[in-house]
Amino acid sequence: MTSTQVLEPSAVDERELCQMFAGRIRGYGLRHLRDAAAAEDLVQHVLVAVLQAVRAGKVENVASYVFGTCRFAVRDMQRAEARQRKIAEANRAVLPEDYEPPWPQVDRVRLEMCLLGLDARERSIVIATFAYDRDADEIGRAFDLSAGNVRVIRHRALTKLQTCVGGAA
Amino acid sequence: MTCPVPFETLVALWARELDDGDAVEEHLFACERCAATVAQLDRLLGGMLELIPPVVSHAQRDHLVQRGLTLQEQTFRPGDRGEAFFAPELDVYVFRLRADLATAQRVDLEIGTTSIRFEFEHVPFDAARGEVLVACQQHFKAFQQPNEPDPVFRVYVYEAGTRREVGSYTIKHVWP
Repeated sequence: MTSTQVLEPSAVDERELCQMFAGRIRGYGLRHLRDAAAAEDLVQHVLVAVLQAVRAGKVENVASYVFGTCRFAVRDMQRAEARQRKIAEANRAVLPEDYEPPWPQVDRVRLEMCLLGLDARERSIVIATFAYDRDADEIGRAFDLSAGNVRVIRHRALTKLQTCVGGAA
Repeated sequence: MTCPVPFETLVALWARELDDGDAVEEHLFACERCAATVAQLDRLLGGMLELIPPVVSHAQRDHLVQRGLTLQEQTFRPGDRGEAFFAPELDVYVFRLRADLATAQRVDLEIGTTSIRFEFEHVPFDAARGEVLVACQQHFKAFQQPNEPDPVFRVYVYEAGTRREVGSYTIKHVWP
């Protein structure tokens, strides 16, 4: 399949569909829910909804359908965290075995070592953004930098971090 | 939509700073190449979300308790020399570093031994309580070199544009 080809549901079997989109759904969940367990629940919830829609012949473009389902599901999860846990348990019984490709996690100690290897300014900006959830304007005011400078420092720091933990930016 | 999506855009997406975030998100579901690129960043920043920052706010400290983590807490005053024993069942050892922070506009923390020195700028602090909460964890043992002196924590405040040290705390870390 080429990069942005529209994926028709008849072109893939269910396991292949799950494996293709599980990581993308997890990434979406991490970006919007900021919680690994909630992102895992999102993967299951969305895949179940997509599989049911595919079986019912309601899906023309799988990628768009998955994205749309993610958007609604995340909004729903943000509104009703507790209810979502029950839904997640029910979803586990529906999905095919080995539906998910492996998701190699970053080694936590290695990541912290890499974080400590950044200079103080880079480290503080990365932590402020992703641990303290501060935006570039707020960080800029605190550090007496422009928001643009904060973004440049953050981008460089993440490139270094990604290389340090073993991936290329 | 630029394809491949630039790394800077993916970082901005993670930081929730994009006006057209939905358009980028939709593209990431449809494009294999960009999906693979963002997956690397997702792993890195997903890992960051799991990390407990070295300095936590009181709200973050409460959240750790809500998550069911086992915390031990100890208060240190400026000039104190103390000991922290990391029992195996402990997840996080919170050092409550007391200092006069009433007029602080900004607080920095420095952690140092003879061989290493780490500085954290703009850390969370509670001015009313006069406290900075350091979250020390079991795996920090990996950072401690044999035969090194005990780490020293130094708290600095910025007031009216000047920086000054308001507390130094020497804490021996003991792992069973």
